[in-house]
Amino acid sequence: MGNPELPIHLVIEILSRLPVKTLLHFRRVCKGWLSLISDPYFANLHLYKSQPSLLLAPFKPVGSRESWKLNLVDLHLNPSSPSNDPVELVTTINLPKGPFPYNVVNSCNGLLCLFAPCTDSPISICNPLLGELVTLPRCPSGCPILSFSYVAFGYSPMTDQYKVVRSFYGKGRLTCETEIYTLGEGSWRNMGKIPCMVRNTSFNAFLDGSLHWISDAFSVDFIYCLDFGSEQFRSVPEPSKFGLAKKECWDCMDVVVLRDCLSICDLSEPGHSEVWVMKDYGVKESWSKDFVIDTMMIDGTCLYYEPIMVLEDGQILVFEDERCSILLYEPGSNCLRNVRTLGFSTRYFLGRAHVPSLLSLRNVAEGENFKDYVISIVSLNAGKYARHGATYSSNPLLSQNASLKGALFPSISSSIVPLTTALPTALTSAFSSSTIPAVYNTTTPP
Amino acid sequence: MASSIENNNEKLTLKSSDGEEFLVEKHVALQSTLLQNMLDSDCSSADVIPLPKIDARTLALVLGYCKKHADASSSKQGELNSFDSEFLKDMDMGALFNLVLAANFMEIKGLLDIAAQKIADTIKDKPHQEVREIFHVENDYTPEEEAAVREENRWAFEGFP
Repeated sequence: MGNPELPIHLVIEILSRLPVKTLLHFRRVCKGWLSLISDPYFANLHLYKSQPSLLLAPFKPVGSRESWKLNLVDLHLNPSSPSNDPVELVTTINLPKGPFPYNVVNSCNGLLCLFAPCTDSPISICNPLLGELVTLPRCPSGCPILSFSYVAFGYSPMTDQYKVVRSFYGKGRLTCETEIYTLGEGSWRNMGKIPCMVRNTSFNAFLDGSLHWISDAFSVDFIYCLDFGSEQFRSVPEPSKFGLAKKECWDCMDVVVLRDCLSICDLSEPGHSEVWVMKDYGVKESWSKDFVIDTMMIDGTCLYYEPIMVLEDGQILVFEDERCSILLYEPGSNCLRNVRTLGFSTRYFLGRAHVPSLLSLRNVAEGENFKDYVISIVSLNAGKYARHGATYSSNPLLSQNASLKGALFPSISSSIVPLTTALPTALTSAFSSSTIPAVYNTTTPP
Repeated sequence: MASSIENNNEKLTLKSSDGEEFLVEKHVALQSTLLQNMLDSDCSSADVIPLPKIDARTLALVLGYCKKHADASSSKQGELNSFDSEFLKDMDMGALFNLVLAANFMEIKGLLDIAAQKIADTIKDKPHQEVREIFHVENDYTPEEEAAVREENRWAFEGFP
């Protein structure tokens, strides 16, 4: 083959664009690639370049093992490539098996927060693609763990910490309280009284490290957010056109982040999804009604249609949770068409943004109660079924990995590897099998 | 007046590793951060700029990309997207590797992105043995070690030989 050899930073440039499944497979190429793909800094670079998938998680799974399955749907931001289909059902994964079926709270950087509703099971965090599970200590408050309580999971880029927040009603249901847990810290902290329960109900409500939600009718303000770095609660202004009558319909509304703007999806009018967008974050006057999806025209029913993502060509992906349909809305022509009805046997799936990632809980949750679990995955494309018990820690090759921190990605905080990154010696030595010269490689004439 | 017209249409000459010379309009060359920095410093556009690491075939492709993107900077992104995918459509792996190297050397971020993405899309479903050949990587695993890696996430290997 007449390919020239590539310097290592260009190999990284290419590999960081591959799906997680392919990368796990390519660890077999050589020891250097195994080191690279297992490195936390490569995981971060890969995460930065990844687009969110749609994770379909059964809502309140009961009994049947079928309902423990997660489905991952690839969403293509640019529908003209590689295929014309903006939606591709990739994989079905089992949730870890506990004494009770888990509910997915939400996903953050490829990690899922799980809990079993209406039981006293502790909250868990897992990376479903790596088959890693961390079980958190039980919450200290005496309050029955999951009745009248909400759980949220998030990441602060500012402090580089993952946190779980549990909010619950205090005595007599007159006040709300919160407990917070930072992964790796080993204990919960009580944050005291908060203005309202932390709700976490849409495809993606994270913006700049803060989770946003619409409060209930009993709260002073309409939209709240929690900064996962500073752990401060704040209120965010709602559209000035939202009067009392509108606010009473809080349970027919959701916040979602579209094109990096905080948006409200208002379903209080039957047959319509009104989408409001706040163009300048925090500026009340910048709220405007962006578009209205006439959902009656699809099938004459009043199902819940939630816009989840704006594609590069301006079309909007819309998710409907009862039949698990994905639709495309074209704002110019006001046209809504069905792309795919996934139609699973279990009704009601939560649709959550999920970025499949290589982040290992061994790194982000060091010191926690860790275990590998058996993954079962059905790849719908291949139509085959594979099952295995992960034995990640037993591989001696991985324990040799010196961290490539700094050497590999000196500016990982800016998350862009400069085009002309000088080659780190640590990494070249990891690639001893393929002798790569230390600077730019001369091209071999074809 | 004549001189100002001349300045607008200023051209420079690039020389490939195999000695071929390319006359390029300045605004096209500015797509490359490397050339931009050279022009910003003392380098005179009258000189021939040698690019000893890039052959004529690759340089022609690179300049085709730069011209389209320089001329179309104000036009629609959709048009450029379809140009990009058409541009790379039937390119073989050797040409793509040369393109990535050239884009890296000349610091053309957009071209590096699309060429790297195209290589990633092409190798995505390839068996690891073929990937070794493409990247000139030797298998340094013992059979036992490779089997251990394979066992770790066996689901990922489903469908691969």
